[in-house]
Amino acid sequence: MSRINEIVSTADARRIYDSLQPRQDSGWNYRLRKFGMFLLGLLAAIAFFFPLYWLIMIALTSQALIGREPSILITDPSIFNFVTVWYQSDILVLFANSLIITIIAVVGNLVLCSFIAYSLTRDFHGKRGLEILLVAAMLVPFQTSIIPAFLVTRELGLLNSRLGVALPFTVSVIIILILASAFRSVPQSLVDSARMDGASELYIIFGVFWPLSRPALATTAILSFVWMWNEYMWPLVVISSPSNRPLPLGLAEFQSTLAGEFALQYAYVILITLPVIVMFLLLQRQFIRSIAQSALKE
Amino acid sequence: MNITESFKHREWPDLSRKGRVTILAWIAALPALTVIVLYRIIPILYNFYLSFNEMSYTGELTFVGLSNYRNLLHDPVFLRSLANTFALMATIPVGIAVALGLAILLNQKFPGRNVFRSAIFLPYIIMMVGIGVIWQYMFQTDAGVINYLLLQTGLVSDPIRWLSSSRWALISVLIVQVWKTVGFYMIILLAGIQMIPTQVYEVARIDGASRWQRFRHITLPLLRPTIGVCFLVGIVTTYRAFDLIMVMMPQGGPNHSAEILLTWMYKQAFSYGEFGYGAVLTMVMYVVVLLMVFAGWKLQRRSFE
Repeated sequence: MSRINEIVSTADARRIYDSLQPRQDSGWNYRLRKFGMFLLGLLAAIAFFFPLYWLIMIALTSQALIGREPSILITDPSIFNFVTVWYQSDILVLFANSLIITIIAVVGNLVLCSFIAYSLTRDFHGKRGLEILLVAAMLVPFQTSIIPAFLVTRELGLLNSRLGVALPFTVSVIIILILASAFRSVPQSLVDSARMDGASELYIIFGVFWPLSRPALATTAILSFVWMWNEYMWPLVVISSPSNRPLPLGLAEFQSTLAGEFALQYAYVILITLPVIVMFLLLQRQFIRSIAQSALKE
Repeated sequence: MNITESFKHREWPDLSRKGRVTILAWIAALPALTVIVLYRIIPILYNFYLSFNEMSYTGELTFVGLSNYRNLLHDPVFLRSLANTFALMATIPVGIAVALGLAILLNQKFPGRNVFRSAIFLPYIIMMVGIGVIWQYMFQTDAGVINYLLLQTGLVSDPIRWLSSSRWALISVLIVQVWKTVGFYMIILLAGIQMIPTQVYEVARIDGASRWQRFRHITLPLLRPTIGVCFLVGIVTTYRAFDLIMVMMPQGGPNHSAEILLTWMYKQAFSYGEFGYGAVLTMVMYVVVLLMVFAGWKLQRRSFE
């Protein structure tokens, strides 16, 4: 605001006066600009959403683009493809497998990461070393180490098991950092007074930290759910028998055996992504915050 | 002194307060630490060792020195996949640029912006295998909607062979990669934009800065750390391209034209049984990822100009 002292001309004064006025919320110029933005936003949204619209459209109408004039709108929809997928594939078994590994991953992250995040709120010998180890682990993405990780899993005797798929996903450094920063923002006086009342350290984690870190816990649950549910590469390496496969493997298999049957494949895609989509639509705000938070923690 | 013993009795002779906290903290850290060491730290070290060995189907290792590394020189697909990996990394700045434009637009107040944000973000949370199935059909030469639209609007006169020509195979992958990640970057950038205090803009307006000047000299420099973050997390999203390529082009495209290090490493180890050579490719990936992380970190650190 130092410029205020330097006003020399009335033109300057006029400009400052204008800029300090509240923005005009009416008038054609303003409305036109808002409308322009709306149009631009609409165009961008349509462009980005189109493949997903196409997904829904083909799954509902089975229409092909060859031999006739296609209709861009959904005409004559039927749930035939969904019913076929439901009865003709082993989707329920795969669903159960996905659910099991995802629950292991979510519970693992909530509990194991809470424990280590609790450690990081305390002052102890070797803390610096632990932090360096965590950062080192974060530098190299898990997917790069798939070969040695496979060999480790073999040594542990966990090949072709659901636990073997879920185990590496039960701990994430990003989630540890998110939880640790949430725990640190809990007032120390609360922790101290709980201790004074004879509370155990377990109670301090689950009875003091947890109730006051709900958003961070929601972030943990959402991220670990999505990561595990969508994971394809790791189960591809670990799982060999069809009965232990999670959904992404099932989809890839379905796609290669039913090559050309795109409407059925599309219905399959919709069915198996539905849990994540529904979760997103229900918890939109929290969901978006979680994703942004996970990035900004790195 | 017997630690377990004193633990049982819940009394801590000879231990200072910090000593007690240390034991407690390490016990609490242990389960998560075990998983991290098993699946993040040991694999890195073991992979280094494995890269000097050959592994038989029974799992026995024979030391072969640098022979696996020398094979890199005789593997034409290696260079192809290395170049493609860098091309994939190049989708990060492209995606961020598109996302920046969208973030600035969708940061303005107008009706519908939340719906638009969600529509752009939605591709990011759909599993990449599903994305691969969606786009594989859309990319079909004769029955695909992309060629249909391009032909109808007259942008091309002959249908493009997206997935079946070595010229377009990689480009198809890059298009999908950008489409999927833009929403992700946009969300991060929006969070970054909202952290810029509005007073800064008000002062600039008083000083008579134009819209472009405000963007160039306020928004962009203040967003620089956020852009660095996008770059860093973008590296991880490029690994999802594995799923995409395996679904759309299991053979890595015509003549391996869409092969990346990750898919090539996977095939070497799990299709051909060449674990030692796969480990060498993994070493190359470690180097690449560390270079990229270093670059992203640099970008994030130098916040103001």
